[in-house]
Amino acid sequence: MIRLPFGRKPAGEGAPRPSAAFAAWCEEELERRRDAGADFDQPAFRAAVALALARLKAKEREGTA
Amino acid sequence: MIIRSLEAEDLLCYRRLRLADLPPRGLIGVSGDNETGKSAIGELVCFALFGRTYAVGSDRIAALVRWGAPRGSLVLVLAAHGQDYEIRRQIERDGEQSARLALAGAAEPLARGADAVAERLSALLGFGFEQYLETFYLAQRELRAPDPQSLALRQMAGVAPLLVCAEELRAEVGVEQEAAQRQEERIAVIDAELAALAASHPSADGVDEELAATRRREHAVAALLKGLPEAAQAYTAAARPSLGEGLRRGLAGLASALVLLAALLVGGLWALLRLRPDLWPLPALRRWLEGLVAPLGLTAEAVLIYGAIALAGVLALLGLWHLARALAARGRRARGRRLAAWLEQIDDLDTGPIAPLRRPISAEQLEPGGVALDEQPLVDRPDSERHMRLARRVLALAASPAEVQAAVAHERVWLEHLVGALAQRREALGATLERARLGRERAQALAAERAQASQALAGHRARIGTATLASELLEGSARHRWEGFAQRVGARVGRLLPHLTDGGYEHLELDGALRIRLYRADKRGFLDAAETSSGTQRQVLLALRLALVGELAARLGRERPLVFLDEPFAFSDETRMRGGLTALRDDESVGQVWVVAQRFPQDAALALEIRCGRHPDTLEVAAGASGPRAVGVAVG
Repeated sequence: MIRLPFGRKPAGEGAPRPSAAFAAWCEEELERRRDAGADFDQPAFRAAVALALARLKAKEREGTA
Repeated sequence: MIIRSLEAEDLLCYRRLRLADLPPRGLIGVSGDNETGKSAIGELVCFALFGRTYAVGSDRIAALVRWGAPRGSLVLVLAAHGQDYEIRRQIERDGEQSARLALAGAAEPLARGADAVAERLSALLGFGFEQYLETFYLAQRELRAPDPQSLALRQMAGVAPLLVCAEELRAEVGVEQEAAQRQEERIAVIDAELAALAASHPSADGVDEELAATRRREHAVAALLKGLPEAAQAYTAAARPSLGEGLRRGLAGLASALVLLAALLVGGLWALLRLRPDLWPLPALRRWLEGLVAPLGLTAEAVLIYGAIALAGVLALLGLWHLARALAARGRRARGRRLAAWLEQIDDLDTGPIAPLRRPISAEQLEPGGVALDEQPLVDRPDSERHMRLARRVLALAASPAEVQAAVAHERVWLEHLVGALAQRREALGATLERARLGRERAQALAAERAQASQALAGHRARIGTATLASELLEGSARHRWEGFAQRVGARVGRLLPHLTDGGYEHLELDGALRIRLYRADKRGFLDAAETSSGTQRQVLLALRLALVGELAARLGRERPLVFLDEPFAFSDETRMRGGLTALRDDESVGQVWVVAQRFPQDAALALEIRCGRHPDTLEVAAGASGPRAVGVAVG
């Protein structure tokens, strides 16, 4: 029998919630922008992240995310 | 999710369908010739789960009722999350549909009605109809390249909520931009109005002082208008004709001198009579006086003394008269000084430029052909020289009443003209101040409104900046997730494809749009899938479909999903079909896999084969645990 190396996640453990994945990506993006050397407005970045996260979490609460 | 059993009556081609004790894992093959009801089973599963099929929407659902039957119904029992659920649906010929979802064996349903059942099932299964069609259900001849823009694929990749939020934020940015533009326009209007106000309402600096000064002058002139005539009247009332006054004063002085001389003479005579009575002509004088007053029996000394006393009395009276005249003259001089003081005040008036005063003329003279208004004779204004001359004469009490009255009347004309001009000027200044006040108030209100608009504009701009950056971040995150999704799908396809193509293609490229390029060793390069045979293209698309199934199953993280593939190997030879079936059986990302084909190889790795008859209207299969491969056949 050919066994194919497909990973099977245990039941209940799926992909992270969109808001959690987004928050993690934004932290990486923040570091990338800092490392880019150019000045960027960190408070504005944080505010934008907060706004986006609020919208995503609202979608998750509605069950549409 | 797996299907444990399916029972249907009067739906599609089946008068009665019963599939029971279905194997929970492995391949369930549905075989049969054309139009034997193979695909109908897949459609009934789809209808049971979602109230519609791939081909028939919920608005035409009555088409599922078997021809000639008044209604159709089905019961599907599925297992999910360790529980068995029972779905019941019924369709009337007129299209009315009823639905019910309950735990298997439970009396109380979990949901009633098509919409409620759909909503509950979607939450239970973790996917909806569109996602089911894009992944777990492959309709006959439907195999096509997935659309990266489809909502189902975006949901599968986990980017749908990100892109939806980004789109909503973009829409909000548009709204904020419109609002910001309105504020900018409002500010421009306010600025224009402020500029116009500044031009039409010049500064009122100094107007206050000028108004106060005008009021003071007006009061001074009004005081003059009142006091000057009164002073003139008082002066006039106290005045005497100068000629008569002088003559009387001279005569009074002469009389006083004569009376004094007489008194001194009489007094001297009395003294001589007392001291030197014998001195000539005193004895003769004595005899004359005593003869004169003989009837009275008085002596000459007594007559002289009485005479002296009388003369002293007259002198005293004259003295009193002089005193009275002097006091009167003093009073006239005081009035004269008061009048002179008023005249001096006229000179001290600082009235500023005054319009010329023209002598009023009669209406007849204003008739056409008469004297024009600007040709009216001017009334000359009394100057300081004239005031000084009159004042000197008044102080010397030399000015006659007539002279004073005429001069004062002339002054009154000018003073009334002056007070009128000052009143007009006061009113004009007051109006200027009021305009300035109104302008100032309006400017303050506009400034406040501008500040408010500026603040609102700043708020809009801040929100635009934040929302724009937020949407960019969401889109960036979505791109990142999509790239990861495409990579994972590509890896799955890479693992599946060799088995589906009998080792023909082991290397591939999958781009962001999920387009596949295959490596051909003989051509030593990559080909677009469209450049391969139709059979290979179908294998590639099947591999891609199965990769998406695995990806969705992994994302849901739930138990292995059901997959229904209708004729996936329609263009495959037996070897590739066998390889494909084996790959499907061994794919750990899926659970129960239904595969439809006209026929299966004898050694195909099937857990159950359902063979549909040539004219099926009844199909009953009860597989049970009947060995590695159970075969169910149609009855009827």
